Amino acid sequence: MIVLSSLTFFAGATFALALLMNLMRKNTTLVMIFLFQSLVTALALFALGFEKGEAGLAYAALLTIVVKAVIAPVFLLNLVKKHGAHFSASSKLSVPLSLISLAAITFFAFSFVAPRLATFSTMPSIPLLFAAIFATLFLMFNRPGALAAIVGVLSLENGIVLLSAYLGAEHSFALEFAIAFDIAVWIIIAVGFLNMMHRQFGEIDSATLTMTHLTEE
Amino acid sequence: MYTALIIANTLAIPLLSPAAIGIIRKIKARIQNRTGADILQPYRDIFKLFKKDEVISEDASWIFTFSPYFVFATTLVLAAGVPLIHSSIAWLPAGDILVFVYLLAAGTFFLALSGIDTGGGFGGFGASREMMIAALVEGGLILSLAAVALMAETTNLSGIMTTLSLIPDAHLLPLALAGVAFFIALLAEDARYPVDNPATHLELTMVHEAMILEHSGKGLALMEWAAANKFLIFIAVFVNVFQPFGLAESLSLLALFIAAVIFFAKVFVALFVIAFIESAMSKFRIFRVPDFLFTSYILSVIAILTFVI
Repeated sequence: MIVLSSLTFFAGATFALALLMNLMRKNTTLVMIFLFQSLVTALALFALGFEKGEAGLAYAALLTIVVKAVIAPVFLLNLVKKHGAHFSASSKLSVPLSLISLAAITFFAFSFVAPRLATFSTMPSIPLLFAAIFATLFLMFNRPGALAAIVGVLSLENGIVLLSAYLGAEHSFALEFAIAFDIAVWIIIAVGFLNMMHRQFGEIDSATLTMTHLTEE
Repeated sequence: MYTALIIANTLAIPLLSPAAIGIIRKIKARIQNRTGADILQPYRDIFKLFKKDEVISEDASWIFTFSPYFVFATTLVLAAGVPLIHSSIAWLPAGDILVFVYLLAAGTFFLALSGIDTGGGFGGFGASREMMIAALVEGGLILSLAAVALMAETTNLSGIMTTLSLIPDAHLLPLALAGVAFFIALLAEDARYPVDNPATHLELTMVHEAMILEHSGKGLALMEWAAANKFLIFIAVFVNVFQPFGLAESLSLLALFIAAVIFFAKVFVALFVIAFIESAMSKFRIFRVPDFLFTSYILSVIAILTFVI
């Protein structure tokens, strides 16, 4: 019972951090919030593994810490530092509209999505995790910066991993390991791609790219 | 005995509020590697102002003379309704959240009126800015308190504190979201960073200070004291409603003493956080303030949604 209430706490923290990501304007803060969200995800997986008595979930938590709380933040923060991309203030919607959208997303997750999953699970965490996933998708849509998109994808993965684990649909450890490896490789490729993008355009914010240097020199 | 405790609870706010301002100034000074003034300096300032004569503009009406007393009186009534260390030690009629919000609004209204009463340019733009901020912050303030009222099924601060001290874990998220929303409202209502700069008299940045610029002597002392009272009242509501632990469960001296120690510790942490925010970030441009205050409003809405649905 104690573990179940802590799972709700972790789901709440994941959702709150996803909301916070949408409110932040500094890239470094965005990465730090993602780091916290990854730690929360790892703790939730530990707690769930403890409750179900499954060592696989605990190993998956360790992998999450290594890949998402260490490798990804280190690569992304180095990228921000290297290119001086500390700020990314632009967003497609204005701040009030973004906030109204987030409220609507939360309403949608709680009113329409969660009741349809009631046959699978009645845990209070499920609508929270759906709201976190939708808030992350909204971040990717609303913020045109490439770094926000990368953090959005990784954060989305956090939400999906937690949701599947909470619904009891987690994969075997071998598959979790493969996914974690895949994500680590993806992070390295994405960071490499951003470096190339900066070399070519002098910018990693896709909203402000000028399409004047598309030919190789 | 019970009446004496309520009077003591009410008087604690005006007696301690200048110290809260002194502590926050001291913490800010230390963060900025300065020694800073003594934490008792605000008491000395208020005492000094009480001894000075008032200079009142010829164009000022009775509103200008009356406003400091009204604004100070509203903070005293508010102080009576906010329990500090025991949920039942408060004057219940003043502790209703609607009374709380609209007494604040009444005080702000007279503060703004006194700003424009003398016809000075500074008072006028200060009042104009203040009313814009007050209108924008009211939604977040009411809804954050409405969120906790819904959780506690009562609109009285005493009842809310009693019920929320037994809150189930599942309601921690809406409570935390409402707490953040209330904290944003606290910063705006009390003229703190990033909405206002309480330590400046620059034309471009003044809001609260511009409105009280024409006051002097006793009137200014009351205005400054009322602002300090309001600040401590908000802090007390924030630490007791949104961090509902440590309240005394009985009226024994030991229980009240322990609750008082916990209350002061929570207040100190809140003051430290505010001082840190004020040292770490710059003031927002006035055009960014609506976005900031709208965040408070939406966080309150999300808190209600996550609780109700």
